[in-house]
Amino acid sequence: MMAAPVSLLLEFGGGAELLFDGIKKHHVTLPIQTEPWDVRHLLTWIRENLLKERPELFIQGESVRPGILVLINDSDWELMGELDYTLQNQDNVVFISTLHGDYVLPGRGKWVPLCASYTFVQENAPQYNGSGTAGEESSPLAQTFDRVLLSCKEALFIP
Amino acid sequence: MPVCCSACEVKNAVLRRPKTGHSLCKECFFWAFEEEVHQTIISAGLFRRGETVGIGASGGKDSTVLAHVMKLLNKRHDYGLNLILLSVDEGITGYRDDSLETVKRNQQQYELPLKIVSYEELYGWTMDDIVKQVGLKNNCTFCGVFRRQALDRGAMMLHVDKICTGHNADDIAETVLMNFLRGDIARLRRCTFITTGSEGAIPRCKPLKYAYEKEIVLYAYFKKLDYFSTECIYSPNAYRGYARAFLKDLESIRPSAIIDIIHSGENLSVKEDVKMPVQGTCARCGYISSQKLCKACVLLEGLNRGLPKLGIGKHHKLQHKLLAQEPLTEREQRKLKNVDF
Repeated sequence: MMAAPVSLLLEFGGGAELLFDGIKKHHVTLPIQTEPWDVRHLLTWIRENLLKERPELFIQGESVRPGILVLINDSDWELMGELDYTLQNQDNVVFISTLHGDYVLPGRGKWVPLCASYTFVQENAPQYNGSGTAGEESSPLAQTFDRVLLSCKEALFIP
Repeated sequence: MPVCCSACEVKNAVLRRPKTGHSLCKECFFWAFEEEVHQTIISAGLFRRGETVGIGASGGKDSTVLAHVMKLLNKRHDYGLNLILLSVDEGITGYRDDSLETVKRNQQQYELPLKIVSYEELYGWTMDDIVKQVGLKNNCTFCGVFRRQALDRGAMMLHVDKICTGHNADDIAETVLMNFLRGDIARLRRCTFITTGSEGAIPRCKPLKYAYEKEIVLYAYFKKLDYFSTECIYSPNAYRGYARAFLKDLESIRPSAIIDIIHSGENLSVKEDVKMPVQGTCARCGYISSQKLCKACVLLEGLNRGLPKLGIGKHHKLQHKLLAQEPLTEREQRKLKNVDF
């Protein structure tokens, strides 16, 4: 049996909308497919059809990146079965990012108040500068930071 | 399909709390969230009746929730506090001017007085000007140091007894990790204190210290609070972002990780023979400083002398020269002038 088409209201907030051309609300209709649509399928569909840039800031593995909150019909998706929730017609799915400083996209109208200097620096900006808050020069510690994180992740079995 | 609220057992739950794993409906969640902040305030004895308390308001989610909850608890539990919103205008076009609009709306919504202090009036430099001079590599240093002082100076102008800021549990756990990874023992010891700077400076406290970011965001979302959610345009991919992403990864497999890191930080004790910087006051502006000149004065001097790197990194060797207003040698100048983008 074929599942009926599913119409959804997708909303992006907390900065996540910047990955979707700055548009917060998207009315979408998912195509007919043999299996019912669950959130797992929806994320794949979003990645292929809606995401404009840097999908790694939104998707991690088959789920959303940790730090992005998901609400289905105004309820925490953790109560709804997360990826396994079967989407119903007219569902409302909200994605709110709580992550900081990741969504600065080069060359965006909204982001270029200092035009010339800003655009220039953005394009050549280093991955990170090791001077987040405390004001030290980029230290050897800053350079090994990634490696430390990686080994922590391995030690804690985080994929 | 819907999960029942584990507290009232009547309504449908709307979220699972990361701290406890409980599923709560909107009303029970609001109550639990607010009362936990109340418990934090009471058990740490953060305020005394009659005090004037400045709420550091940036227009972001944390400070908006803080202002809302402080106003509400002040009334509900009759703290007898005189609340004021305190904002810093860094002078970042397209970021701060928009978020200040949010703060101005909050002022009306919560009927609280608002004071805005700007970098321009305090230091003669806006962040836009500073970035033009120093580039994007070290600008967060300037902004961070200047903001800390700006909030204090704004508070002094208003004769505020205490300042409270919207730092949440995620922020504190992240800072513990950062200080640990940097080997910054002095800050590692201080960063979990709920109140800091009681000697000399105006005390600062963090009523949301144990509140998870997830709950703050959902509180703001369900209460439909008006907040500004764009990030600062000058801090792409800062060092801190990596610690944050790591923390979020941890939280996703074990939600208690955040409170556990804070717990670890709170219970660390530093060996007695570890040398700590001695806190004194700045010879120029009187602000607390571990050096003769405070960081803000050194940074400002660098900007005014056209040597933007002065004050980035180690500068104690030059302190006496700066204090005596002596010129620097050519070699010293050359080192401090070049800005690498």
